[in-house]
Amino acid sequence: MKILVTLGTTSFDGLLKALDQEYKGVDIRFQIGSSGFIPKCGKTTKFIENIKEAYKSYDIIITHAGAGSVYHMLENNLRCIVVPNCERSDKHQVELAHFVKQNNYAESIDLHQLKNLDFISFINNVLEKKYDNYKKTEFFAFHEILEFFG
Amino acid sequence: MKQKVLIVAGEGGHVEQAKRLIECFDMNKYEIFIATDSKNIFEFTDCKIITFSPISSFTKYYSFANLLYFNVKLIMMFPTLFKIFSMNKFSGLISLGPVFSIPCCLVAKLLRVKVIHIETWSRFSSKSFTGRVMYYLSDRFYFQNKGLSYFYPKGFYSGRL
Repeated sequence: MKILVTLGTTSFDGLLKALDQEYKGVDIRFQIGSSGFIPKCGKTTKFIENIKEAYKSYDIIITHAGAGSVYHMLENNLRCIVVPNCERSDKHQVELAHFVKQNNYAESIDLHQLKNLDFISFINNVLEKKYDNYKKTEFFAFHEILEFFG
Repeated sequence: MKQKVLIVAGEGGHVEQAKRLIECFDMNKYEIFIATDSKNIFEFTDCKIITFSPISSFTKYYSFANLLYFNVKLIMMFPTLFKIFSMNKFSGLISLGPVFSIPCCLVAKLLRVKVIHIETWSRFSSKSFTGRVMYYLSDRFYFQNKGLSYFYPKGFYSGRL
């Protein structure tokens, strides 16, 4: 099973530490952004060029709740686990994680819970679970904006 | 002659929102400028990119050093901003946050350029610092998640980028 852990441009040492373990039958890759902690178990890179293409080659993606990453994954029906980064001074990632879970668009879990569960059975559950397709009201204010500028 | 529009987007998800917004523009009619403090902008080949020294990253983790750097970098932005606005007659400015937007919009307002703020798509049930300020600073305020209508009663729902 191939898993990608992705943090975008940000740092989230807690998530990397929680997942830095050898799991039987799991090939894990870490994209660590600006994190200070470097995981030892698995391939580690700061950034992945053309990451949107790279997503497709993983069975499951574990991501911080950065909106750019999460919305892309939902729009492309990628199987993902969203972990809000509460190490940041503002805790707004919790809102997106809650939105994802409330609408059953993907799995969402906080770091504390993630540390205290059987990781392999959790991953298997996520792989088997049925999630709803992401729906959104498309951005419709564009022409209003242009009219406002005159 | 093409109309010039300045889009302000800090980093990370804000840049992704800018990318989606820019796709709406007819490039034969509009010349798009992007002001950013992100180092990782490679995709906007049709636009003019104005890169500032990073300030957004200093607001993610509180510390005295970050506060000091943030304020110094913020003040250093103003001469460049005045220069950009004096060299280009913008029809308007669209701010996508984060806090990097505020100085850009302040200068725009001083020079009587219309300012629109689109509150970030990652807020559902709380105000961002940038949103709080831009609600009063912008000429028109949009939000992308309906739950925010409670916090920004004079704002407009825009749908999501």
